[in-house]
Amino acid sequence: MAPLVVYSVGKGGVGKTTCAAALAVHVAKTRRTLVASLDPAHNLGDVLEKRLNGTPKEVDSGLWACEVNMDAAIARYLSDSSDRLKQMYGHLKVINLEGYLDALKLSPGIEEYATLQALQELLQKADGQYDVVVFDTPPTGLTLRVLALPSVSLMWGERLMKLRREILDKRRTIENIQGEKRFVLEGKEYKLPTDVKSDRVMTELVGYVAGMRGLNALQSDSRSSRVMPVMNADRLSLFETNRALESLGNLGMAIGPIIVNKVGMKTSDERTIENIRKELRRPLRMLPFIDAEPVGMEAIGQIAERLDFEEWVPGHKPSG
Amino acid sequence: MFLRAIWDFLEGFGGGLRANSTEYVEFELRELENISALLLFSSFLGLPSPPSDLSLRLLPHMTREMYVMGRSARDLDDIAGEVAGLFVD
Repeated sequence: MAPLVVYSVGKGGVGKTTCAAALAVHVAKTRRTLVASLDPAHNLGDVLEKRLNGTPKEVDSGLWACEVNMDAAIARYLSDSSDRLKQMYGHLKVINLEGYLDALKLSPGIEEYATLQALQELLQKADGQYDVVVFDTPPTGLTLRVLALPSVSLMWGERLMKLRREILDKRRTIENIQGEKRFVLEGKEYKLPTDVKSDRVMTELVGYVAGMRGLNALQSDSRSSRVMPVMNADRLSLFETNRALESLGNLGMAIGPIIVNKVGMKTSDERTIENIRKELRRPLRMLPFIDAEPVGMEAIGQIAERLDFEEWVPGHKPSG
Repeated sequence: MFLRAIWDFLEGFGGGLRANSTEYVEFELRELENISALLLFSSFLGLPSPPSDLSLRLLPHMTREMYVMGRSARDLDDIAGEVAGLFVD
């Protein structure tokens, strides 16, 4: 059975790692749970006071935790791509991308693809092993781009497929009237594909679209994925959360109640929370500011008691 | 021999008719192939390109598209001529 997935999303420093850990601790009481950090600047191990790495480690009864090594994920993504290139152009023997990997890993989009790939791999491994996976995500910007990738990729794939089908249809029309034509390039003859089954481009597109559809479906199914937004009671947090929720809503993701964390730090908090309620028009759940930083299994356990964390488990109907 | 000449004439005539009937479809096909090549290679022009996983998977099959890009670059000089050619009869 595919696991239920919760994404803890929010600005850096608002407490999303703490909330992700608290949610995981609560859920682990009744289900096999994995809490995984995709944040390149991992805090999960610090919050749980356990040394974590890429392999899930049992930190409590029914609860496993891991920190995905993002540098390694990026390097692996790039080396997979360069392997594929080598396979295609193996006869050229001059291809040596290793020297360029350092520059390539900073290319726009690479971090997003690598994070998405790490997310997919984790969910595949989790299938059958865990009932719930809680993701501690990178800062909002990157997370939004990563979560948008499946639907963006799907859109490209479907558009290209439609265009390709039209091209094949027209070629077939012409071939029916004029007979088979050959495409000659530099003395070599190619037969241009005219139907879907013999077109390798179409085969690639179909495979790609199928993969992206699966991931997209998982995300937009409220019974299998849910977002747990975390914010603080300040204006910047409000602006950012507003924009993030709009984007996530456009992706069709189910969004649970918003956690307003560290309430009570400022005297103006009451008023700010009223503004938040008016602006976001979603259920809010408050967590008080705790003077002693909540670190360690016991402290997290106490936070897990303060809210009904069941509300963020996909499929559960929040009471409003 | 005379019959041969008539036969050749009729063949040429038939070919001309067939070419006429497909002329517009061929024009449409050229346009579609141009768009397709443009989308797939748009990164060369600064346009947003397909996700890199997809581009990489399609790359080995792009011989025809690269030829189309070259052909477009050559034919773009005389779009008016190409369209005018459609209406010549």
